[in-house]
Amino acid sequence: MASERDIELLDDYLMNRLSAEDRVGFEKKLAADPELMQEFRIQTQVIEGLKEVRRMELKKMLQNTAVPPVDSSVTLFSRLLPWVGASALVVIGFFWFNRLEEPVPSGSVQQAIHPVEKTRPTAEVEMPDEQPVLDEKAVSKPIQRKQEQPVKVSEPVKVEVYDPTQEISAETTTPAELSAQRTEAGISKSNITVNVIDHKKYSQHYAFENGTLMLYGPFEKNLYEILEFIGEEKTTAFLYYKNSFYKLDTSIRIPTKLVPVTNNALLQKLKEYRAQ
Amino acid sequence: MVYRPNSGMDEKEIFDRIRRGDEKALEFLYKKYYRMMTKLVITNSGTEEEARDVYQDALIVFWQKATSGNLVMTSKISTYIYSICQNLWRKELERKKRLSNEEKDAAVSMDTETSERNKIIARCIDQLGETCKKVLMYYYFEEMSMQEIADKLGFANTDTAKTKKYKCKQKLDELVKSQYSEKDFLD
Repeated sequence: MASERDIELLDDYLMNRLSAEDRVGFEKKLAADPELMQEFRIQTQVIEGLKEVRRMELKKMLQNTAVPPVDSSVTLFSRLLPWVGASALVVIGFFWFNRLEEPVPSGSVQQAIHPVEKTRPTAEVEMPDEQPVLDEKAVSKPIQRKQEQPVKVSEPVKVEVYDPTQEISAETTTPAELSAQRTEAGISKSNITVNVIDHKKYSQHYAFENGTLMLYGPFEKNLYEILEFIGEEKTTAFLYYKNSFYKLDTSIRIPTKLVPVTNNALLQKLKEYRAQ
Repeated sequence: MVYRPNSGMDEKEIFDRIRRGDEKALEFLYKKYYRMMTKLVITNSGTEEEARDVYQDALIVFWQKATSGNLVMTSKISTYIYSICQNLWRKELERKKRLSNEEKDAAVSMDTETSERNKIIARCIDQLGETCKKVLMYYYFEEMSMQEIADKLGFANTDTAKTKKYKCKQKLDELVKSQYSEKDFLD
């Protein structure tokens, strides 16, 4: 059986109250004395049990403390905040499109004027059987298009549409593709799900995981918005955070540092969309 | 009348009282930052229940560090507690992710063993008198000094506190050992 002195030393050892020298000495003794080692195991568990009981006691005390209710509307709002910006863009984009709208060349690729509710209208455009009949009134009265099917228009277009995807596409697409994409660019409701992760290693990174945008860093502390621009060929998304815009590449699978947009023309347009 | 959550207690006073083991100050702090801290978890895929759980655990970590004298505040209390909440919630999310894999069974089995042992010890602690319980908890959990324990429990001096602690611990050890054979304590 361990001596009274050993039990005292053991207690001080477990509570980290021994000097470095005494600690080393006690560890040697512990290693050489199986009986003391057994007592060490028992005491470790008793002390852990004591701590756990106290922890539970404090927790129960807090549990019984009246707290202000969590304001569900505030919580909901903070969750929805990113989407508020995106939704605003839907409306802005819709009117913006309609304002610029003019007929497009006959027989050209069917124009992508889609109901706002459609998040990815491109799929429908690519299916000839589903092409809607031209509705002249809908073209001239944009507001009505909310209730209309996508339309096909027949006259040349002179549209100066600045496509935010241009900057990205320029490196990977041909001028013709770029041109087509430019005229077909639109803004639609963002359907990107966002998951914010406060990560030890990554502070301002992102990645896409099964269609979900993973934002690594303290993004919850400030307002952030996702701007999604949907074109015929390509969808481009941008993150707005702390007065900067960041391009989001949906093919990124591993956490990658967010790079702010520096192209002045693009920045200007993004700011305009957002400000509207 | 305007309700001011800060009225009557500033940061320094709260911390001093927490450090001395004043449970009322802990309750005050709990209420003061409840919304701020739970929001952190709720906006990061957590439920309100999980948020409350994490916040309570974080406060207890803060309490334990403060009462043991192992904490020197270099930032605001809320900043410190917020960072604990973040760490705890991150760990919880990792744990959830792990549990969805094949480690689930092993983890549950280990948790059950630990929990069973803690229940045994909790039953033994319950058999101690109130003062004994307090002395042991203040010593082992809050890590208070004998002087602090004497002051808090109204003992004449540190020798009384030391003797009390020794006897109470001896009694608890006996209770635990009498109920279980040694193999119960072996990992």
